[in-house]
Amino acid sequence: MRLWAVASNTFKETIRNRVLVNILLFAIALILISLVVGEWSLGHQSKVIKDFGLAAMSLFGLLIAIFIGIRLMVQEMEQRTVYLILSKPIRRWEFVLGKYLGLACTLALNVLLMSVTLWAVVLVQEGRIDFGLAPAILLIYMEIGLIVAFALLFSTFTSPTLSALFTLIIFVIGHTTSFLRDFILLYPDKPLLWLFKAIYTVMPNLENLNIKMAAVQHLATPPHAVLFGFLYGLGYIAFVLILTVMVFEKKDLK
Amino acid sequence: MTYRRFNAVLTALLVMLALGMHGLQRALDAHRSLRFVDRTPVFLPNGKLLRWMSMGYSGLVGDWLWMRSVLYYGRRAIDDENPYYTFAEKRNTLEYEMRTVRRDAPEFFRNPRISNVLPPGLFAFQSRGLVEDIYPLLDRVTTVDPHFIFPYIFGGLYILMDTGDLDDAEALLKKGLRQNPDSWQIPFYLGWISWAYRGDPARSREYMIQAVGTPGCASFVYDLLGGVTREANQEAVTRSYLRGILESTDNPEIRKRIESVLKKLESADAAPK
Amino acid sequence: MPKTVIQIEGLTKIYKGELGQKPVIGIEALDLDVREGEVFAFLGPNGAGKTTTIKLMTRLLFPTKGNILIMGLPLTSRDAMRRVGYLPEQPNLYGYLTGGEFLDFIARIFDLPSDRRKRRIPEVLGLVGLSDQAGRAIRTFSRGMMQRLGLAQALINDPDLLILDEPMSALDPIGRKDFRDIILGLKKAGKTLFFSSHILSDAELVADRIGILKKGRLVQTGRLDDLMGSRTGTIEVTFIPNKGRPSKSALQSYDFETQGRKILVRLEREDDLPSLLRGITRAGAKLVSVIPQRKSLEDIFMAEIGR
Repeated sequence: MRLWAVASNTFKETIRNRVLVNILLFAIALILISLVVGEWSLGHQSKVIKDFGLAAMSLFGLLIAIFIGIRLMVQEMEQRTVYLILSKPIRRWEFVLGKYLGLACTLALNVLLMSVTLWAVVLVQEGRIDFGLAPAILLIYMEIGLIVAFALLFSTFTSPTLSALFTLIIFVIGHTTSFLRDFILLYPDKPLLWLFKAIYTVMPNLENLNIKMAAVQHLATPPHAVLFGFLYGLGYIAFVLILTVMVFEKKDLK
Repeated sequence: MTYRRFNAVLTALLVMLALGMHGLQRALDAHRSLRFVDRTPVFLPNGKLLRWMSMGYSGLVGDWLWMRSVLYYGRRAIDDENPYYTFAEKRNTLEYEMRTVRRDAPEFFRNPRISNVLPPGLFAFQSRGLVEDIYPLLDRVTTVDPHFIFPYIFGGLYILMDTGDLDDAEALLKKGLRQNPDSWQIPFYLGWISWAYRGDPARSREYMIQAVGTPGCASFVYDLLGGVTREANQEAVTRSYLRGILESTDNPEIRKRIESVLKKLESADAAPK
Repeated sequence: MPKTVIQIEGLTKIYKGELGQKPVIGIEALDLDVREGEVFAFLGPNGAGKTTTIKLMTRLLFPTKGNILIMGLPLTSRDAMRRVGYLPEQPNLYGYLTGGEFLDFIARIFDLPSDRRKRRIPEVLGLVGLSDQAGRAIRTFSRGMMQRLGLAQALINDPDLLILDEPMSALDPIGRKDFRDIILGLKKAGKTLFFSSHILSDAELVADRIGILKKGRLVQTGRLDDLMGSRTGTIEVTFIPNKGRPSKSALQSYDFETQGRKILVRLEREDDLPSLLRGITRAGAKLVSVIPQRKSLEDIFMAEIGR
């Protein structure tokens, strides 16, 4: 019950957060604008809306992670509300998990809103609702969840500015590791290959959660690609949350 | 539960998760390398915007775009060095995947003698349809960094030999010529295209004159100009062209192809007509 | 023999220094007992370590050395924390919740079942005088109301031990009086109270025992009555002399001062009182007051801290 108390409290806190609402509106605006941004893709007019819309959602996730995810912990500590809670018979891991789940629920709602907007836009453009986008959206949600988990982790032990920076770096690394993998495959004779391989293994590969391409073009993705991607995302989120708990358990709350 | 035990449980969980995710990653990667036909959309704003966005770092941004173009091409072109291609071949999925790709060879060799010899040896057209976005990519590279010569040649020659996108190649080279009037290589390759693909010796000659007129032009171009003017022996001219290209390129794949074709041409020439 | 509700032994907290800075000692070798039903006031100047000690007691900080037992149980025991109520210093509460929602949230952290929550929330609001504020958003609360709500959440689980960090520091005199009354009421109900303060007068009025903390060390501890009663100070005698002229000879031996028409004499020893009174009567002067001065808490405090 304690966990859900924290989660629902966090949900109430974040759902009416002005910054979140603004970023959401921004994302929705982007999705709507995509109707006009035809020439940005390399000549493939018809899929640009979907590409753009899904990309807007992914970007939304990053911004949310940085602005809300970091603030989640930091605000509790600055406002000293965390003292009230942790001095009571609640375990610290319940608190961390509760906070995360509360935000995850808010994010789910936001992603749903954006999805509806995207489907509406696609309906206008193509005349039908493209449900094939759903697995891509699910994985985007996992991606957002993972970035937010990282933001939460960093904000437990560094300043808000550094946390934001680190989260951004993780996002960039996450999307470029597959680049690294191509590099490894295409040029197996390069020196320091072991280093690149090590980096690739450790860093979160956000491309696993990126099946936007396949979803947009209705390529037959093997069913396990979605499932594995989902499990990967879930696993990595759990990993980061456990790390956060371990850091938080022994943290002095000055 | 004591703190120590709690910590131990968490650490154990971390290890299990790490192993699990590593396994998932490998499974996902294995499948990805099976797929040779990869149509990840390349999502970039137009060249002018990119150039504006690079704000003083256009050389760097141009380099990055160029690298992306090369990797894009290297990932998709049919090439024995391309691991994605060799994986797909090994697993026999190549044919299945290629069915979604347009692959009919273009028909534009106006010169019948050339069209008998050159296409099978020199022009592969096998990556046709696989690298559809390469010309737009190169267009952006050259808008951001217009004086970077190699992309023009890459698009105007190498890719052309693999895909046969003649109009795109010519457009790229012409753009390069506009931006770099001092280059002798660009008009040289435009001349080659006019000669071999378009079958237009007059146009070819115009380009050669322009090439010869720029400083630093290689000497073989002069000889070539003479040959084109005389219209003497089409095979001879073609051979000279090819030798010229051979001289100016380091790319081993291209060199291999040119050398084998040259051999064929020379033996055909030597044979009694 | 009353139970020991708080037992602290050898408590030490050393903060590791930030990059390149020396470690800072928060608390050093603290030994402290608080018995059931006591009101213990924890005093000290700012930065002495009062809040550190309280945070160590509430598991917000982890000790470098030493032991704390709450009701005989270690701090890791959830049973111990279930019976404790804590009010931090100048708490900020979730502005977007109403008073009632906030208390419900806290009650759920305590795992109180919903029927008990429903009963307890209005009870506790009534106790702190916020009965009609349950539906108001906390961001509209005044400082005093927030402090009361803070006390309310500390009471929601009907704790046996209350730990309050500077509970009255931010309040106006009326608020402080209300708080003092609530504290005395809780004491009557048999609760144990441990609070820190730097307002000595409040402590003086409610505490049974005090402890004085200076730079991380406990320098004085004991029952208030003992500390103050044992050191009686002077006796002040005020009178109005006859004919407005004090007789020099009579007053020679005394420490006195003139206050308008009145003369104030400070007697060091109680034994001197009868002779002075006789002198005043004989001189026909008018006796205004005889007031024995107990040493104030402030005196005791300044003595310890000043050293």
